[in-house]
Amino acid sequence: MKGNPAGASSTSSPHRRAVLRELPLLLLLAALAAFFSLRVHGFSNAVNIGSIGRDTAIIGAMGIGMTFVVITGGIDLSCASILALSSSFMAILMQRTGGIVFPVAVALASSVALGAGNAFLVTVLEAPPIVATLATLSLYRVQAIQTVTLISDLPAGFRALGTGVGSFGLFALALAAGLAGLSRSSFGRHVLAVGGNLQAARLAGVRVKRTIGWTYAISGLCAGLAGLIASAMLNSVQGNMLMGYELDVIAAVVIGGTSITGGRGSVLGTAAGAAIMAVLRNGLIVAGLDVYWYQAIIGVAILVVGGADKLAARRMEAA
Amino acid sequence: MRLVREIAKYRLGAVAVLIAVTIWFARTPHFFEAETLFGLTRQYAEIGIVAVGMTLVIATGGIDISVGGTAGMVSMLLGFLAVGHGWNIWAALGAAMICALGIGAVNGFAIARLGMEPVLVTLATMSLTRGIAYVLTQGTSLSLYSYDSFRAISSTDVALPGVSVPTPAIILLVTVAVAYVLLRQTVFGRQILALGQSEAAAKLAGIPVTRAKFQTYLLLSLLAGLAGALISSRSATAFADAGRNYEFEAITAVVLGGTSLSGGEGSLIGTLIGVATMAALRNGLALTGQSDLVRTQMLAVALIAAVVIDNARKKLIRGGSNT
Amino acid sequence: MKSLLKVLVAVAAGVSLTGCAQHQSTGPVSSGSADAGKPHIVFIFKVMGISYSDSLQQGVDRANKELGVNAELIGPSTGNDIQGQINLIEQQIARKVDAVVISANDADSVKPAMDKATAAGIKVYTWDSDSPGSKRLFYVAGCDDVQIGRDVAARLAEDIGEKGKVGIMTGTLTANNLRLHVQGVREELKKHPQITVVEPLLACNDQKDQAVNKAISLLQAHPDLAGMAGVCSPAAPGTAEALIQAGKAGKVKVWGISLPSEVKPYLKKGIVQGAILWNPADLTYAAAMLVRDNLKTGAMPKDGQEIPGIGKLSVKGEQVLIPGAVITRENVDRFDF
Repeated sequence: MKGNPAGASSTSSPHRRAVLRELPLLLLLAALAAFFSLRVHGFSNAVNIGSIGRDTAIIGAMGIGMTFVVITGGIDLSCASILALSSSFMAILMQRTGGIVFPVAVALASSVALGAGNAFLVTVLEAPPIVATLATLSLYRVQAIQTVTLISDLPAGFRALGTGVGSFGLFALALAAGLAGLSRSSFGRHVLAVGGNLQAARLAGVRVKRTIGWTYAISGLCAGLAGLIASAMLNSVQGNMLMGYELDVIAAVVIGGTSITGGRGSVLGTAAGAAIMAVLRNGLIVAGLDVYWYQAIIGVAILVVGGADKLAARRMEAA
Repeated sequence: MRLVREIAKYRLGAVAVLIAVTIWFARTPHFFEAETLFGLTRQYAEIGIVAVGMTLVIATGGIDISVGGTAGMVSMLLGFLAVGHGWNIWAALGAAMICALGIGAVNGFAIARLGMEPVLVTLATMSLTRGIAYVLTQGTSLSLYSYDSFRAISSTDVALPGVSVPTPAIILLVTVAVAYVLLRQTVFGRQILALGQSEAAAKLAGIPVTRAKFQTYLLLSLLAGLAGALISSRSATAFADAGRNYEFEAITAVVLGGTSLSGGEGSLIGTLIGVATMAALRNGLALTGQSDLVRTQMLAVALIAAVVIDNARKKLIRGGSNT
Repeated sequence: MKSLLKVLVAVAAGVSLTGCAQHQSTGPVSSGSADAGKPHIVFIFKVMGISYSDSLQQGVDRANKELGVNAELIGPSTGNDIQGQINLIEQQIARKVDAVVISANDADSVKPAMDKATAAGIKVYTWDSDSPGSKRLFYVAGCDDVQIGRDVAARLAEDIGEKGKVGIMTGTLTANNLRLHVQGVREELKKHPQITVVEPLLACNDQKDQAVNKAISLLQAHPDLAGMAGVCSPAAPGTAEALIQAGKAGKVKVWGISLPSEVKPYLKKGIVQGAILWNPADLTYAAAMLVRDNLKTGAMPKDGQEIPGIGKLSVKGEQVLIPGAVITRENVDRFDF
């Protein structure tokens, strides 16, 4: 993809390559799932699958937005904080009004606005993304903790979003939108072009800053969506909910094969990455293994996937 | 005079924020007392030491987010070996530091040799080091309260003429001095700055890019391990979570100090100013009884302010040179 | 598209700025002169921003109104932040406060900082979670840390018919009070030969989202789980939520150490069978009163001493207990914390 200004000559071959790129990942996921279901009693029953599905949906939904940001060469460390703050606004409205639709709309709108806050810092104030979103990670999180400590017992209708079916449905929706947005729209081509070669993209007439700005708004929206799933699943909203999840999200994106330097990335890969994270995390606990192994194993997994990717890229360059 | 000029030329943002913070808290009781200024240096010497190494890594155009994890791993390892297996505490510390070097070697190899992305590699080693630290004792902490000699590293003062300075502050100053000489006076330092500006050009100029990068990551991991040991010494406890958020705090200090994340420049004096700013903010807020939450928020605002001011400075310089 | 983005940016910038401005305005003014002469007592808790810490704050507010003290509650903003807590203690030394009262995240790691505070002439105490062997003058507890674990386990054992598998969930592995709660649970359950404790001991970092995930995983590993004992406040409600998702509500019995406000909905639905707890606000109020008296006259808490509106203290050595409460479906509405 690099050096392909505006991605104008996008044909079917990159798509096929994308699917091929995902194949080892999907195989890894299948192998992990098979391993745990054979070796670990209770892994493959419906409840547990539902639980894995929810975890995948939460990490994956945030990961889809993050994928867009990372493809432009940026990063969004504030996604879990946006999740908490937008959910906090929602919970307060639910508590006061008892309604569902309006609070959910406010949650999504505020998540876009918070993402736009990042966009403002990155594009207008020209702060490096890692610094800008590091700052908003703190700002939004503290705001969330000061807004809501704990609001529990959310409306019954809303809780449907937290079931295995509900959460996966929402996630599938986000996934479809992400796939279409990245590979079938001009916006997606602009995102890839900006990340691939900024100067070339600018010369080709892409409005670079606006494109980058929108990716942060999208990442915010995805975090808001993940917030709906998480609050419905927990049947409560806490200011400190899902603290530290941003790193799981970045790990999912990276394991999914999106290049952290930008220009190349896959929404489907991110979804697979999120599923691998969720399966590993769950499988290890169900197997009675120390949950602390999870962190070490994820670390090794990122190194291996990243290293293999690098070697493969080198071989392609050499060929 | 050269120092003043350097500050004026490059670290405008950092100095402005530091002055603003100082004025903000000037009326706060105890703010200018020795107890506040010196007593609390034990706390930020730890983060300062990491920030020094981070400055060098950022100067190469890289970044390392595994520093907090490495600190935690060293803390837990030395406790595990000393308390759990009866090793001599200094031998345990030595072994733990060697493991920290090992993490630095993994980072350096993957980044410098394989050409992998620094964020990616160090994200992985962050996860790995924290995982190792937790797995060692399943998350339980170990008390080092009875190791008086080890605890003395952080609790003693060094008597200089006229003033007694906490030992960790001395360690920080020595670290800064060594790093300053390394960066400004040695071939290694020039290599780091050159490859940060343009790796391709540095390669063409015959600079051993791989080796220079590798050594930078090695050095930072060593310093992160040292910080972990200091934290354990100050708290008399080995715990897996030592150095929590150090990656963020160290990067904040470096950026507050005016070093650009895009590489090719690095100001250790700026970083020291950045650390001082964070310390002033922390102390000021603590003295006024503000919560940790507000401190976190103010630090974020200060960070944005420093970036905005530095961007404005860069634009001014660019604008000036055009006309 | 462009104008929409502009509006969003403006809104977001506004949100961030008002958020900051709001807190900046409370800047360097709080050590005002109105509090001069009152003993300055700083309570340092494990983590802020959870229901339990909100309740502690109510006790501090009441103490400021009624006891003639200048008390405040602070703590790290994230769970299990051992280092953050030590830093906060050291900062109080620079502030030259009169007394520091600590609920320790890690029993041992706070000792050096408490030593330093003592050396600087600051009186140190613990409440809620102790640091045994430190220089603290006394420890004010809501319960006997081991006994409350036994009580929770005894009631759970009764509810599951004294047989089957039981899981245990704690907040962190390092907090002394939680370690002792777990010890009590284990001791009591050992008395019932037909009950087996399933490992690993789950730790939710005092966060409900982690409690839910870990409970679900444990349920998968042990589908025949009979009961769950939670010893930190988010454990019981988190387990309850996991049971609803797993379709096992009511089948697995849950007892915990939780706030009534946290477990109320689950108690009413019969998913959580009960909880044992003291009122955190009362605990803090009592601690503030005892610390104030100790600062003024050097008086130590006395066995049988009456705290207005709370009840009689029982004192064992350096440990001071306030009366606790057993919360069940029947009486949960009577509690307002």
